[in-house]
Amino acid sequence: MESQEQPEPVSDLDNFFRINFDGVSREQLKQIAVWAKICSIAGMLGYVIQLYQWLFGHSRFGGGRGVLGVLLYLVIIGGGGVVNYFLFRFAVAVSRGVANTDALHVNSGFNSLRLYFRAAGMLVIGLFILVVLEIIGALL
Amino acid sequence: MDTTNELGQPELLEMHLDYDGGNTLLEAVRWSKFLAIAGIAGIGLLLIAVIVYIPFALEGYGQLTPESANVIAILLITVAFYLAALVAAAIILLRFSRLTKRAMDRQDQLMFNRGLKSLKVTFIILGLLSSLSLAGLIFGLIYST
Repeated sequence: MESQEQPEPVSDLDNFFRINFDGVSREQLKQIAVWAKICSIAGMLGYVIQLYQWLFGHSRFGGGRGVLGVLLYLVIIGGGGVVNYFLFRFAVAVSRGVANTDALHVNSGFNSLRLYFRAAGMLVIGLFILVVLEIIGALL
Repeated sequence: MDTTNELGQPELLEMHLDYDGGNTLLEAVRWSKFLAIAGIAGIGLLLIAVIVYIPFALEGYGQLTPESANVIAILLITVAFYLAALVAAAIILLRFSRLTKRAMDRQDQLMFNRGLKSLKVTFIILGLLSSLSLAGLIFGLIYST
């Protein structure tokens, strides 16, 4: 009878990076969470005020200058709101994880940070495309 | 292999970066790098556009009174400070992505902590700028009504 190869036992330590959240990194994470929260709340309030200004006619961007102008404005406000929501989720998860010494929350916070950077990156790409289209439209 | 720390607690009970968290952090690092480079390039382009546009805009206003020239100078200095702070934030974000990527490749705790410090400084700058922008928006809202 052929002997089958036995899979090597996987130690629990093999599932981790050799990086832990020591005192220094926990302190950094705590402050990152505080400032990220400030950033996201200020950002969201800013977008709410801009939406109010746009809807009630005090907009600095002069909303309603054609379809592209409206689209640009919706992308800025909608996209900015989504980006700040992910940042807020990151801040809440990390501060909870650091307070409870729970790596699971910190690691899920990193997932929100990934979504934040990804959404911000996509927003930048979308804005770039819309601005180029608007410039082309103005030139034609 | 020593699995205890200086307090005699098993390392598994400490907070570790697990593989899922590490991989999502690596993806976050990639996007943050893109964002930082796009930010620096975008602000550079904006700066060029402003420098090109200013002489035409001022020409349109005709002869400026000393008061209006002062207002324009203050406005330009404010915009310059704002953009400079954004560029600084983008450069520090780039540093975060570089340090964190290298730390995870080399499993270097010290470098990882330095990366987190860079992220903290980025968020401090962005938080201050967001708060100032919000204050400006509220002031504008009150002033316009």
